[in-house]
Amino acid sequence: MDPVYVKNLTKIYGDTAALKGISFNVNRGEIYCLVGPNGAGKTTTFRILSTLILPTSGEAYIEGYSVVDEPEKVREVISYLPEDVGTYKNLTGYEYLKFVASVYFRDHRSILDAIKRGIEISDLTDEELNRPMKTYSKGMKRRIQIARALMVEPRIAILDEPGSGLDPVQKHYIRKIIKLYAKREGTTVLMSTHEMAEAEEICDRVAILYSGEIVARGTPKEIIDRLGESSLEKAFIKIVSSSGDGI
Amino acid sequence: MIKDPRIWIPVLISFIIFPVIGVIQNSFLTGQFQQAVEKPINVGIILSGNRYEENLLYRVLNSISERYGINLNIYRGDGLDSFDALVIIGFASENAIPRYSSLIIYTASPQLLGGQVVLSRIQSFINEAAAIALSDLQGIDRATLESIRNPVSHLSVPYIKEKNALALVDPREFISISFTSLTIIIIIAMISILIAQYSAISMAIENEEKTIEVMLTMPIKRSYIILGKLTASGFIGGLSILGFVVGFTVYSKIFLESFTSAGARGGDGSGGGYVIGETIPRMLRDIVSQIDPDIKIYGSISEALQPNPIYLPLLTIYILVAIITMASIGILIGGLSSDVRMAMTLSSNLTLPIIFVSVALAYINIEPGSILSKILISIPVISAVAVSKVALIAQPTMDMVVYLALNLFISMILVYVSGRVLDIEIMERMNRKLSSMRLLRFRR
Repeated sequence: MDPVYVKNLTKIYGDTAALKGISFNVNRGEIYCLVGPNGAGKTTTFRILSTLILPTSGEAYIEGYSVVDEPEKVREVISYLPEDVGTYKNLTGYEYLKFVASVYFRDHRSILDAIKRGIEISDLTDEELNRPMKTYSKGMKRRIQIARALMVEPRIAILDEPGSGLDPVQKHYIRKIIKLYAKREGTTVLMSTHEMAEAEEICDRVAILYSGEIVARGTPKEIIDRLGESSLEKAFIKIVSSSGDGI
Repeated sequence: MIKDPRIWIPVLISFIIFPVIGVIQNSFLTGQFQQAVEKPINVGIILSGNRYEENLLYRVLNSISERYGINLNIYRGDGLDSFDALVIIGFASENAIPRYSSLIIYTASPQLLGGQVVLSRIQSFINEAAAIALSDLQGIDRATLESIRNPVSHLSVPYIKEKNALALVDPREFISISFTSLTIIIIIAMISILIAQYSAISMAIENEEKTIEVMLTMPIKRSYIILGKLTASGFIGGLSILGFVVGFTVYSKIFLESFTSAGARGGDGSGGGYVIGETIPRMLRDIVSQIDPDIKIYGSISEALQPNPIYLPLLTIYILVAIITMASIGILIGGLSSDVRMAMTLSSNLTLPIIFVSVALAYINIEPGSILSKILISIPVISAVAVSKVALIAQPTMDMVVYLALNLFISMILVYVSGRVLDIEIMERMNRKLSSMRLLRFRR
């Protein structure tokens, strides 16, 4: 079974259907992106796959484990980065990385290795790492969170808008790190973005999500070519303006 | 958790609050009592009838005034401002029994605590002088006078019904038990509220700082997260208990010292220790053995109030269950609060009922085995307060273990419920409901 397998997944909140039976699968070592505007259902999908919420119906498997029936097994193989995540502001960056490492690893050597990886990914200086995180800028907080998510070498990293709210330089750095880790460590990455340029640059395959439905899928190039457009952004606008018919 | 000032500041306060109050009280009390006890008192005298007996009393007053630190002067219309007290002396003889009367107008202020001490010094001064004057008038020698003034040698022995025991201790010392048990009750109540607040804050911090989602996707069992929160709250609650106990001990020492030192300086002549010796206990034992051979006799207050050894582990477990219960309630409150302020507001609602019940418990006579006692020891937290009250005086009963199990059962239900709340969907739904309730309240 593929590392991520989703079939007919639905989520209904009261009268609102956040997901309307989406299906997709992610191959090993692949960077798979869910792209779409705000409210399309990206975060809901990720929260289901991270075992935070239950689907209304449908199936979702992570490394063969059902997110509904085996959530504890799922949590052992994933690392989730929510879009709007905070930090423990009274802990230093170093203390936070150490805490996370000790949750995932038992032996001292592995903990130290994970912390070392975390420091490398965060690209923060010693002085910065030893400061309470309440003094961090938004970019520094995001880098420490990316470091936290990737340093534990998860089999599947679920990253919700990893570049959210960052300046172009910081976004570029984070994309570079994600690409590097997917290639070097073989981590399967499932990420979301509403920035088409970012998706075009980083994603191996893309699923365009609109109003809780997947309206297009394939490599960025395939989607662009299929629609005869020059960029993924233009292709996306064409898709949503044609009232969301599947392509 | 411990690094957050919203947690460690209250813990720090628990250590210093009582000593600080003690030091402040001590400085004010000592100053005011010292002044009231030591300062010379200016007393103006008016002899209402200018009779021989009144003049005799005035002469005696003059002769002993130095010993009492009193400046005595006949009032010559100088106004009340010139004196600390104005005393109008009268004398009457009804049915051939002579008797002095006095009307004391003394300077008092709601802001001064020493007014009563000054009055007491003046009354003692007049009483002694009047006794001497009357004995001279009646031709009574001083030894007989002393015998009339203190005709009976009293010895009071408190009987502790719950322990079927007599305590050969100063009854005034025994009264301090009420104070101690009330203090223990208030401390347990305060700690319970604090623990609920600590755990509510620690959960609300996760919501406010948006760290809960990451924590819930880590490979940690939900039960471990709950256990971690309970342990941390219990640990911090334990620190607070230690803080309050240490602080209260320091406070009691400072507080009692201010009274003792003031009393030692006062020396109004009415003092006298509570010396029992060896004859009285022997005599008492003989008498008591005829009344009830099972009655025990304790020779000291600590011996009389020594809790039964079974009570200590029992009370410890009751308190632990109370801690778990309050921490679980705190987790529930914190989980449902979107931020720390909301958690503080919600958890502060626990203060009034807990303090109210605890203070009420301090004054209710809990008969072990009564229905009231059974109800009280079935409810976690309330049971810890109730057991702490009776621990000093009563004998434990076997059914207390049964009720402890009931406490534990209720507590575990709360732990389970708080574990269920560690669910993003439930928390978000409840957050929305609570927020909309707050909005509705503001709209009205």
